This record gives sequence, structure tokens and C-alpha cells, in this order.
Amino acid sequence: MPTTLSVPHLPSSYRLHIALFTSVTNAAHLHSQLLAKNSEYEYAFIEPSILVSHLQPISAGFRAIHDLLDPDVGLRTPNVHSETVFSLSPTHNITDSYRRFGISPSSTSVLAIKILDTSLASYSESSTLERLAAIVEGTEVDFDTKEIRKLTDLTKVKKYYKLKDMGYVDQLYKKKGRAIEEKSEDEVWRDLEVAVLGAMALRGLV
Amino acid sequence: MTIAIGLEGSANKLGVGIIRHTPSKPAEILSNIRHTFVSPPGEGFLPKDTAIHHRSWVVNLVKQALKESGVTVREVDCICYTKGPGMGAPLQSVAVAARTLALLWDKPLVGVNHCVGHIEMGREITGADNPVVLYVSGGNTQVIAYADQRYRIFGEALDIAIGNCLDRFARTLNISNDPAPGYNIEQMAKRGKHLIDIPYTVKGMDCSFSGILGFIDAYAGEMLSGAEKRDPETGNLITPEDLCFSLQETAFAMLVEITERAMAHVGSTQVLIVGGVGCNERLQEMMGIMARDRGGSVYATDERFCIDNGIMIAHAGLLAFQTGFTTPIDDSTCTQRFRTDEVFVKWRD
Amino acid sequence: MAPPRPIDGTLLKQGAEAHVYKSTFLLPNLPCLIKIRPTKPYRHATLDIRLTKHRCVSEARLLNRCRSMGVLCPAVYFVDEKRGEIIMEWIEGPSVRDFLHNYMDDASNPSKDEPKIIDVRLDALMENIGLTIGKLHDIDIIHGDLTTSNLMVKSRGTPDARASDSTDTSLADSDVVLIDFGLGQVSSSDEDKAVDLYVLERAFLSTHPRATRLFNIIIDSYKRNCLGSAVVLRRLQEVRLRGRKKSMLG
Repeated sequence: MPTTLSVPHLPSSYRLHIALFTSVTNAAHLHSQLLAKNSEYEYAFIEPSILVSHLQPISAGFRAIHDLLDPDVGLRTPNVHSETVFSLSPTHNITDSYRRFGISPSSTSVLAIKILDTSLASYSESSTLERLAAIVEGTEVDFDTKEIRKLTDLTKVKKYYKLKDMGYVDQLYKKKGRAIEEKSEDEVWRDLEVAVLGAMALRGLV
Repeated sequence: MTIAIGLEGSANKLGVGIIRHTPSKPAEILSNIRHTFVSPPGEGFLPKDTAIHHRSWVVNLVKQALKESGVTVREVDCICYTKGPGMGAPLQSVAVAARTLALLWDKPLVGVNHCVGHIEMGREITGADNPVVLYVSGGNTQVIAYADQRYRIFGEALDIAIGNCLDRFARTLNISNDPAPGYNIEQMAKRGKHLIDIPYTVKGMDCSFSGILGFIDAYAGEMLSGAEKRDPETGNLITPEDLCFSLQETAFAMLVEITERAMAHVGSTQVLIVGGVGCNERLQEMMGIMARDRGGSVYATDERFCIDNGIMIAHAGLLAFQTGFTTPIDDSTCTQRFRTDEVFVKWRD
Repeated sequence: MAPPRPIDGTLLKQGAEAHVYKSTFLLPNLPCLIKIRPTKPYRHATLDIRLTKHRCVSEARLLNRCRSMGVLCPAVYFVDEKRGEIIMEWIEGPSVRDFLHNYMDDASNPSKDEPKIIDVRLDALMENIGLTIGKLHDIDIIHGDLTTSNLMVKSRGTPDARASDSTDTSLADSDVVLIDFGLGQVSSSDEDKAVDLYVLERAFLSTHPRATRLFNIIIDSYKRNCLGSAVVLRRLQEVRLRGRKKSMLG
């Protein structure tokens, strides 16, 4: 089922509508509509294999809305949806960010986000959610960390977020022959999650 | 009622002061006089010359202090002198004078830690009850708070003292040592406008001034050799006044920052500034703004007390004397190194 | 500097350098800490802006590097450097400072005097602190402000399973978490690492004057665990001596 949420520290009228799809058949079409700048398709279509938890896309949405509303910052991309995709990136390269974190014509799963100011008269929750459920052709699954992690491509995540130094000190000690306490699977995912959130948060700090 | 005479000469000031303590009354300053050895511009004061200065003035100063106080030798209960820290030769010359007086008048001696002298005098004069103390002088930069019978050092300059930094900077710019290099820097800083970017080094509650000194010395050196330095924003020429201004703004911000950290750490809202650099009004002003922001206040003394003096030695010595402390003649040495936290503060709760 | 804005959260602490709020991030049930460096009116505006921005950015970078390389500290969620604001992971637990104070002030605890504070739980905590600082130095991060207030005791497992000020925690099952990297830097210099320890030593012994033995456990653990400890500890001796020498002149 799609998720609707407003985010702390942002005006509560701003809402994220999020849905996750697998077995997607129309990624090429969605991709072409994005390239054609068709406003009917103004969504953040995210490639789920680069996600490690549900916090990651919400954080990207948070950053996009934050930057949109902050007169000292502003958007670096055409709209809040492209900005959400860009906000997943740890670097400033916009084209790369679309390519890496947005969907490709061959994507088989898609995370779709629609961000709307619900205080506008034109807003209707039901039609927004209907449209969200219909725009991606595939099987909708729950938007949660459990479903997301089924789709995660760890190699890509580590490469895109430059995480080769993760857990460096334990590896160093291990090499020196020390007994290192093995981390639980949950701890490993949590480490990965915060490393990714941190890399996103640090984008553009000079 | 007890009366003490105090002799101070750990650096280039020779001071003699006489104080009277009466139970449940504020201490009475009966006399407090000082004579300063001033070196020519571009030079610091050397231990040997300073010691000669102290030796040649100490008898005069003691006589004058007694005369001003109206106290007779018979009424004096003890003779207090600076045991350290300080410069060896000047300390020794004053210790010899104190010992001589003790034997001549048959009075007990009390050796006093110079830093504790500053702190106790500051507390007495300002009424600050249990403040965090910033002790800033030519030889010391310490952030101190009292706990468990000792003045504990929470932070300090890791290399050179702030006063030393100012003095050496004054020498580079050939600023006069009369009445004091720091005083002249302060006056010049009032005419400075541009803030130049200088290294700002705070580590926890400690700080470091050697980087600043090195940087600003090099900068001033280039200026003096004719290089034009300009403010990047206005394009105006950087003047020696701007250097003094930037030095003060940066170095004092560091001092206020470490003091604030210590205040937050021990949960105090009072701050007391002591030591020669403590006379600086800009430092007092900055500290005041910080303390007010924390809902507290700053306590500072004027040049009679913050610059090295004899009365603070008399005062701190008398506090110790009243708890039964004396320094036997055989132990009446002095020491260049004598940390504030080595003194057992028996007179406080 | 962008103007400050109201913060949706509970003000926890107005520290010397920052105001700290407890709030939530992204979801109503994800607690976070918001750290804001307010402008310091005592210092020159240009200097103030320079320091505030520098420290905010530097702290965010160091937290991220530290956490990612395997030393526990709060994870960074969001940075607004123009306002000197960092949103970070919430760490549940008392500071080591509060922990020790509670322990020593605890009326039911007869061992108030130092020689009697022999408690394996405390020893394990000190051991863990030495290990954590050793790891930090092995990844070439200098904390810059090591005090017992900047070390937290976080119990593993469920955060709400224990009261934050309780001393009954099973310390063997707790982690030491470093916080407050505002004065930190990346450096492989032995001198910097030695000064880092010296700062801790002085802060520890002035804050907990009766706990010399406990501090020695930290250093001993650092010595055994940190790969570069031998050189750093030799250097620490020199730094200590320098500290004593400094008060040569009155």
C-alpha cells in the first residue's frame, strides 16, 4: 500500500506519497517521459537497488523540500522531484545522480514518490494515491525496510556512496590478529544505513 | 586582627603591600606600592637586570610602605613573599629581602604561590564568591576553578602565555614597553578596523598562542619591510593598528571561549579575571558579554591589583598564616615552577 | 549567516558552544539530536561566522568519517551549515561524567573514597574508553575536546530498557560513544594525539579528582589496544613536562 507522510521540521502541509513496485514492466516508458519533461510524469522515480532502508528516500525528500523552501539554498534541479533523486547523491554531479539513483529503461523495480503541498486547493489525497498506484505498471509491495532490502544491490551501494573504508578499524585490528566481535546482521545494516544517510547529508559541504 | 607585609618580585614589578584582616570585616589595604623595571622598546626584561632592579629598590619600597600604612614593625604579624612561580633571579632577590626582614624583626615567614595571590586578592576585591578564574599574565594563561581544597587548572595555554605573546608581538612592531607593551597594544587596537585572518587554536579548555605569534610576526615582518598588505574586502591598507586589533580580537576570543567551556563544565556563572592582561578593557568587555549571556557576570580588578603587586602576596599569605601555616627559614626557598594546584587551600571550605 | 529559526524540539542543554535539542527526524518515532551553534556576540562578527561554519562542517565530516570507519559516535542525518545546525542520531544514555558523579555521590554506595572504588563494572567502562580512544587515534582522528562530558555510556539492546541516570547498568554490555567533534581534526601526528590525551587527563582529573586509578585504566587500555600507542604515550610524557614548565614565569 502507498504511504503518505509529512516530515518533522517541514511545514506539515508538505506530504510525501510513496509506493514501491516490483516486477515493473513500463520502466522504459517512465524513463522516456522523464526525458521528455512530461509534467504528467513529474515524480521521483528511484532505482530501489541503491536503497538500504526506507529512511533513505524519505531523507532525500526531506532535503529536497528543505532546499526548495529555504531562500538561502533553493533547488539545483528543475523541480522537487528531480531534486529528491539528486538528494540521494553524495556528490554534486546532477547527471550522474539521475543515472545512478533514478530509474533506467531496464529497471525492474521502482520506488515512486510524489511530493505535494496539500494546502493547495487542487490537492486530493485519493486521486494522488490512485494516480501513484497506476503510473507504475508492476506489483505494489509495502514501502518498508524489509521489502527494500530484498532489492538492495550492496556492490552498487558501496561503490556509489564510496563506502570502501566502512568498518576500517575492525579490519585493521583483524589483520593484526585481534579477535573482533562479529556484528549482528541488524548492526551491519544499521551501519550501512547511517553511512549512506551521512554521505547524503554531507553532499556539498565545503 | 592580624597584619601582614607582602613582597612580590617574580617578574619585572617589585611590589610591597601591607594588609590588615579583622574577623568578619573586609580586608584593609594599608599600603600597596610598586616599582617597575621598564626595558627599552624592542627588548624584553632580562632576569639579571630585573634582579638588580629589585635589589636596589626593595629597601626603599619597604620603608615607604610602612610609612604610608602607619603600621609599626611591632604590629606586623608575618612577612609574606612570593615563593614562585616566576623568574629565578628576581624571585631570589626578593626572597633574600624577605628572609632578612624576618630575621631582623623576628617575624614568621610565609611563602606564597603567586597565582594563588592573584586569585585570593581578586576574590577579596570583587566579592566574587566562587568564580571560574581566568589568570592571564606575561607568564601564565590558566582557567582555574576551586574544588576540594585546591585551585584546579581546567585549561591553559599549551605553549606560550598570552602576555608573552603580546609582549613579543610588541617587540616585533617596536611598540614601547612604557608603561607596558600590552597597554600600548590595547590603545593601538582601539584605532584598528580590519580583522585579518589569524590562526585560532583552541583544544578543549586549552589553547595555543605560538601559531598566532608566528603568523602575526611574519605578517608584521613583511609589512615592516615594505610589502603592501590590503584588506581583501575594502582594499584598504592594513596598518599596525589593524594588527593589534586582529591580535586582540582573535586571542581574546580564544580566552573567552575556554573560560566559557570551563564555566559550562563546572556549572558556574561567575568569572573573575586576574593577572596583568586582565586589565585589558576589551578582554573584560568580551568576557562580560559572554558572562551576561550565561546569566552571570564578570569580575575584574583595576591595575592596582591585576598587575603584580605586594598586597596580594600579603593577603594570600595572611589567609594561610591564619590557618597556622608558616615557612621555616630553612625552607624559605623560591621556585621557578610552582603550579597553582600544588597549594593546599586550607582556608576555604 | 542565515537567520536562526525556531526549532521544533525540547531544549536539553545550552552548552558553552552549542544549544542541543531532542527532536525527531523523518519519522515521529525516530529520535534525533539537533545541535545548533548560536552566534557568539562577544566575538567579532567576521570571526564568529568563520568559526561557526568551520566547526559545523568539520564536525559533520568527522562524525561521518568516525562512525563509518567503525568508531561509535552519532551518525549525521542532516547539515545546515549556514545556520550552524546539525541533525544527528540520538544516543540514549548518560555521559561518563554524570555516570561517575552519580556513582560517587550515590549515598548507598559506601566506596566514596578513591582507594575503595574497585568495581569491575567501572573498570570495564574505563577499559572501553581507552579502547575507543585508541581506535579513534588509529583512524587518525583527533577529538580535540576529550572530557568525560563528551563520552557517553550507551547500553546495547533496547534503549528504553534502562533509566538514563541509573548506575545499575550492566557496563559490560554497554558501548562508549564519542560525541562533540567541534574541535576535532584529521591528523596522524603523534603530538596531536598526545595533546588529545593530555586534554582528557587534565579534564578527567580536575573533574573527578578522586579517580586517578580509574584514569590509569584508560591509559593502560589505550596502551594495549591502540596500534600507535607507544609513540603517542612517549610524546604524552613530553607534553606533560611542557605543561609543568609553562608556569615558569609569574
